[in-house]
Amino acid sequence: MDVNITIRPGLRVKAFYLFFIISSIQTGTGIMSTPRYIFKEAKQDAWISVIIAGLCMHLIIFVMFAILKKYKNTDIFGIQTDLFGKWISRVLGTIFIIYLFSSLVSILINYIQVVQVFIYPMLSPWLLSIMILSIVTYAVLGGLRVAVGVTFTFFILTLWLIFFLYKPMTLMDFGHFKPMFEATPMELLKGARATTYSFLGLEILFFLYPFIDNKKKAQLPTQLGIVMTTFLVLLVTFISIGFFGGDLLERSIWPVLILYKLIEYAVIERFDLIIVTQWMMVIVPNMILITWMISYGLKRMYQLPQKKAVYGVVFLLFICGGLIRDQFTIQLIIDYVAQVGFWIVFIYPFVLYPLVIIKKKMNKNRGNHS
Amino acid sequence: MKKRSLIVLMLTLLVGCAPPKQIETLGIVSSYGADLLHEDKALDNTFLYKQFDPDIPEAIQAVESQANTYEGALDTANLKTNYKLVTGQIRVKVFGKELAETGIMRVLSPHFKNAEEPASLYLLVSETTAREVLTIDTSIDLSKYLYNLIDNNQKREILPESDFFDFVHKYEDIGIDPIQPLVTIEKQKPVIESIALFQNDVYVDSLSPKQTFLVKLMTESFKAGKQEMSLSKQPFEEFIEEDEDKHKDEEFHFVLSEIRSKSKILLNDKKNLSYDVNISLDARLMELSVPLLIKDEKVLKKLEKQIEDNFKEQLQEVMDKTKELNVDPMGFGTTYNQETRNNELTEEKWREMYPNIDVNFNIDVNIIRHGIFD
Amino acid sequence: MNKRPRPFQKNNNEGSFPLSIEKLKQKIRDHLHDEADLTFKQLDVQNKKIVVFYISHLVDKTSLNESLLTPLIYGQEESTASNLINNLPLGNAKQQDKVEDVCNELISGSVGIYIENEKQVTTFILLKMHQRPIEKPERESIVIGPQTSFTESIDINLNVVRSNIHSTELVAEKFTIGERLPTEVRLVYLKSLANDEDVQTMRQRLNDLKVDDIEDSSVLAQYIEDSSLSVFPQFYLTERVDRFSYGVSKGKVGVLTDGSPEGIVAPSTFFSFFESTEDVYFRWNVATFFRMLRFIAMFISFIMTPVYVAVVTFHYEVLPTNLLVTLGESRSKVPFPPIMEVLFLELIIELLREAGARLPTKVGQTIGIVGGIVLGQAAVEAGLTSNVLIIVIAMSALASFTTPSYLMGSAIRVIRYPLIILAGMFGIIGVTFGLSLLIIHLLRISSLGRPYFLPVYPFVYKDLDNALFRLPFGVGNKRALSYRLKDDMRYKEKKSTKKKDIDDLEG
Repeated sequence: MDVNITIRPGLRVKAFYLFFIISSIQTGTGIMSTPRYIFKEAKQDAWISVIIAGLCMHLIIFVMFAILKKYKNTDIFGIQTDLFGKWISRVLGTIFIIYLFSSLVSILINYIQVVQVFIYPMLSPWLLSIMILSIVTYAVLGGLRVAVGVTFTFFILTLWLIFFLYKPMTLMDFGHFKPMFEATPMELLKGARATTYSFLGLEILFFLYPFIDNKKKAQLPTQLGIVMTTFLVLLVTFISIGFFGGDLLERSIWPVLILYKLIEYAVIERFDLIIVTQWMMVIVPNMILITWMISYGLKRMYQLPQKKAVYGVVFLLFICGGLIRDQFTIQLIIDYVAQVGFWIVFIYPFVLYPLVIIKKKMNKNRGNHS
Repeated sequence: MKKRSLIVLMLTLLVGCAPPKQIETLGIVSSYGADLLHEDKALDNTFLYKQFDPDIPEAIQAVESQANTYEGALDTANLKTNYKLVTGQIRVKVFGKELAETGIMRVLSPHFKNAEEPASLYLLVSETTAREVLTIDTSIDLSKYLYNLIDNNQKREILPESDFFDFVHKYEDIGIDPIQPLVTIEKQKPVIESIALFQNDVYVDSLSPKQTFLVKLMTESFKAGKQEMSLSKQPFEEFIEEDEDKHKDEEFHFVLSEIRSKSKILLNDKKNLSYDVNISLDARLMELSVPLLIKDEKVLKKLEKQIEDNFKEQLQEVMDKTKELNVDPMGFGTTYNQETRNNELTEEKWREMYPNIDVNFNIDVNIIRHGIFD
Repeated sequence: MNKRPRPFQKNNNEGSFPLSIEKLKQKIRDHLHDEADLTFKQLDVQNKKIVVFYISHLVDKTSLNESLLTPLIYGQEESTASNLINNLPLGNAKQQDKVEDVCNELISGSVGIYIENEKQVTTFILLKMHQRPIEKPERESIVIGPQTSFTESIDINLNVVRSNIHSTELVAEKFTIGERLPTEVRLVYLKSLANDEDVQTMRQRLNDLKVDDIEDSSVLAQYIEDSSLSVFPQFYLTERVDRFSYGVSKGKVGVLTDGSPEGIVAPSTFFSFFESTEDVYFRWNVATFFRMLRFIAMFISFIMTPVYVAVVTFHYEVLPTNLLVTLGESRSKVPFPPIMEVLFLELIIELLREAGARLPTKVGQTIGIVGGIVLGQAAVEAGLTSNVLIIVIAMSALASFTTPSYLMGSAIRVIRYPLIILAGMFGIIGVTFGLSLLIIHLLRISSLGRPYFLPVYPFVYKDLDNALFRLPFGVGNKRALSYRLKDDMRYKEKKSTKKKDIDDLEG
């Protein structure tokens, strides 16, 4: 496998879209329940944890770019091959792909669960799987450009959901934030770690980088994308704490959806229903991008035709989406994805960076000798 | 491509559609009432539901059932009607006083599990049985009536904010107790009589509307409130034009309107639990039962001073009453919790502490206008 | 393999001049299968036998007499083939040396002259044009702006386009498409502006098209479209001359077909189908309002009825109590499930539209009114539909007619049906599913190789002006960037950007 790859201009994507890609892939089903997990760790100072997590992510992105810039035009598979050789890199890449697949499963089953709880308790999970997966397949078969297009368009189309949070915002009780700064640094860090699940998705940079058209301008939109997601998570965490306060927040499984439930208008009385259905447009780009990543990875590593890879992934997803129904199992998978994701997405780049530097130095030395 | 689409289509059809809930087949429950059955502590439930049948002229029907749980009651009630009872539009839940005295959370807990029910919902305690409140007048839509009764009075700032979410908040938060409207029946119509005080979810006692105003004054801010007040005539004798005063009344009455107020509860001394409640209140003098001549600022200042003293006295009374009942609707406990660090306040601890708190009121009344004529 | 002789295959052995006049006559008659109106006129001029022949219903007789026969008979010089071309006051002279070609000329309205023992037949075009005059556009009517529409004649169409775009840069490349029945097709574009790639793509597609014949521009458009499976039209078909020339003058490629009163404009984006030339003639703010109105109308027209079905079938909770009562009461008398009710009423509306379009205008109007008022009223009274639904359906039907392009309007009406069925099966989530699929579909298709969803994706923020809304002319001095034209600037100078103060003393 070649370390560096060339992509024809027709397939490239403008760096500007990285903003939408990053913020879309990070906001999925996780954000619906994140405030609760952070609150469990850091209590009323949870919002500080979110800021800490946000800052960490900026650092991670920075490191990721630093790694990628050491190469001409490559992705994670190329880097791993360069560092570890063919076989170890294949193992690592496969772990990556298994992790991606399980995060895909977690998104799907979590969403199905939400739909069943909030809209149709009796709806068959198979059916929802078919619906979502047919959209995903249709888009991924269109290639990366369509995937990015869907991400962009759906991001714009679902942006309005944020504005309706103003209603619960007016119902906040600022007393719930007191006493401020009570949490210990350890608790804050634990809280920051609890955000993992809703912040996963940065890894797409490692996959997408070769496809970016104007790489010099890529850092800024990516960092802004992080700002956007941090802002979103911060916003919902902040409102959730202010609105629910202590015990109630810990007991709510989807606090964000309950926030939307309070909104009432003369035409639409129950906003949570609209939100849950609109959320499909939030998770679909998410799933499209991850499916693309998996299929692309399989193609890169095993020379599997991308079309076949997509069908395979979707079929497996369909089975998982239909079979996994029990709330605890779903929670287990989410926790597992968060655990593994934490190491793969947030810690791995820091391991990779020194290795890349050493390798480059060694190459240079060798070059000098010969 | 075509083949694959066909497979997807086939699969979809095999899995089938979502189970429909067409509105004309539904009995849409709009209010629920719960009373206690004496013999076995079971619930005696009443549902009011709306149905759309061109042959039945009354749109609102009542159905009764006995069960131990709310969902169970719904199922038993379903046996007595030809419509599928659904609770997605429920607006009012009424609890009989007897049930409320044993705690209402047992009936509210399904709300946490069932996302179908709306979030904006009013909870009421009834002086009589809940069934009586819900069935007293079949000629009107009582659910709508009760909903608007509370909604309007909250919007006019006569009642404090109190809906389902508010109740759950205060129930879950330590150091604050919920309050909810209490209805009774007067002339074949449910009316709001007073405000029910809860200790957690257990009904304890009620406050009169006047005391409600004071509770609201301490906890919320008024934007356009209104309050009738009475003061002794004596300090104002010189300003009252005697000739028109025909009643030999000791007091005179007036109304403060367009009240804008702000209040802050401050914990002064954490050890001795001494609180300061600072209230500032702007109002317009609207109506006077005696011809009080307000010629200069002095009269107004005097009036303001009298009002402040009067308020303090009444606020103290309310405090005494709540301390005696050991309910904390003002949330002094939460203030305590928020001001002290690393101190897990528990329910029991606060119940012990609450009767010993010491509250000092600082009120600043400011009459900014007094009408078109002097 | 195919032994049957194909009639349109050329037989090169035929027609070797010189011939005797009788033989020529015979050959032409054979070739034209004894056309009844084939006329031969034999003359003896200066001792030479000359035969003039033509198909009488195709030829302008006055011109024939004045410009051809008179000079021919009274001419002083010797009649030879080359003299004929010089002496007759007619353009379009051609010399043919094959009977086959002569016959082809005859059927396009030429007169042939043969001087015995010459090697060639000389033909002159004297076609008698029977054309519909230029009329007002009927299918795409607007209130202000030019009111000319294309006719069925490509000559007239080219004439009006040329007079609209007064530039030497205007190129009208000629193609002949159709192997059995050839039709003239013109590729119109501005040489100095249009993207070469677009022109080349279109040229390629026209050249590569191998069909027996094309009936109309719309047929041609379907043959050369990017994705023929899609419901959405990918090329804009217009009967308005101003719309066509507007497109061409903005650097797009136009195609005109002989015999079709519609021109194709390509590449077209999804949003351009909601654009009316009236938007250009209106003031920018009014135009923006109307453009927005059309987008909202489109949205209403495919979302209203599905949402009605979804809400009434699955989501009673969403409705505010008062609306619920109204809906519930009107629904309670209807014996069908909501989806049947909606499909039934939609069907009535579609029938009315179809009937109105097929019948003569006056009858059509009556049908529309009778159908709209009487049928709707009767359906409600008979308890077949709810009165709320009548309003919903009427609104969505009305909204679908606001789309300036008839093809797009029809596409939107058709999309509604799958959405209604999805709504009836899965409720609001089905509708979201359908919409998502629709958007992805729009993102996937292209028009002449350019993304269909421009300028939203790929996002070109400067092109949003004129696509989603319209800004004052002073603001945008650039052409649409997304088409990569040869020249992006519409005019050089921007309006003075200096900010003016109130009561500028020195200004």
